[in-house]
Amino acid sequence: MGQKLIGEFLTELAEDVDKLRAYLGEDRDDLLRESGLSEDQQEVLRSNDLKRIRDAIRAEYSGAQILFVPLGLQNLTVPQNITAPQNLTAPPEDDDEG
Amino acid sequence: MRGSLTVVGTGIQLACHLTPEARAHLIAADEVLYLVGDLVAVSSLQRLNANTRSLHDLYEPGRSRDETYDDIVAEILAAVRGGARVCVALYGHPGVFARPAHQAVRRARAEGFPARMVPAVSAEDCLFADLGVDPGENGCQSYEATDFLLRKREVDVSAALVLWQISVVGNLTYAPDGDPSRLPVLVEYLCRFYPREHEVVLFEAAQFPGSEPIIQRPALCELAAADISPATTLYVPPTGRRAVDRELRERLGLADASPARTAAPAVSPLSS
Repeated sequence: MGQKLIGEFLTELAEDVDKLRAYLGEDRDDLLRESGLSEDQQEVLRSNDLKRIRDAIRAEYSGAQILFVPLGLQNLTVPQNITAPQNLTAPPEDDDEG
Repeated sequence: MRGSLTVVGTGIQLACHLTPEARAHLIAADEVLYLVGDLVAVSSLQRLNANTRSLHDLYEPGRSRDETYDDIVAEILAAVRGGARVCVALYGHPGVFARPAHQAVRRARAEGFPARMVPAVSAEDCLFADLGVDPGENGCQSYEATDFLLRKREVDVSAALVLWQISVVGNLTYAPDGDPSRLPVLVEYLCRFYPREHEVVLFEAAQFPGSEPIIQRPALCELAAADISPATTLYVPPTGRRAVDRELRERLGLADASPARTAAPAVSPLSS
């Protein structure tokens, strides 16, 4: 049986609420000791360092790229001639009470 | 068999953010199509449903994202038309900065298929929690960074400003590692509204259970030199509090209330 991966361990947390509760609570060290992860892997997780954890997982999956993809742009290639309604461009009169 | 579509979000951390409702849809689906932000989430989805398929292959470096979005919608609709109960899983909230998801739901409904979206935790939700910011306190403006610049959005500096996808500002193609080369343009535009030394926040939500979010607090003028990942969101705190308008306060019958009280966000079981 090969070395357990950090990615595998984190996947188990997604499936087992009791494990997740232990990991996020006071039983974290016990859970990590019994996890099958190496000392180095445990240390990476104990660091809580997002970059270190992400890099370790990336290395485990043979350098696979983080799969972030942007999804949100809204037809920006189409010329826009929309103007804001007048009541949105004129700020209300303020006093100095705020 | 009649096809159907359910679009769910995995949240930013699937292990902690996946709702029971989303999980149920993922398990029950005939086919799961996904776009998620990390390999652990991929593995988790594959354990929930053996018939999963990534939509990442539709992205190509340098290709227009508009074209890719059209292909994503087409891929989803083809599966639904084939008669499958299709569940699409997207990272974060499936309806926040996720145009193809909304388009797929609309088109499926127009073709007579049952289709719905299940809400989830977005990066902005994590930002509010981790930075201790309540958008009800001063209001909050939220824009995609390129859209913000192209449309020359006006900024109300008394409200918070959130800019998404700053790592690819000005780049309409797929840039998997980000492309911060046009950040100076964004900084220059923001400096029309804010002091150059105004402290801003670069925020990246914690992606794994127990991990900490990445929070940097450079001055606005130092933003372009900061370490920015594809998942970084920019938060610009307000520079001051907007004054209460006396006339409107009286018309609302709040003349006797103190300004602080009238400005405070309502807290109720329905608004919180």
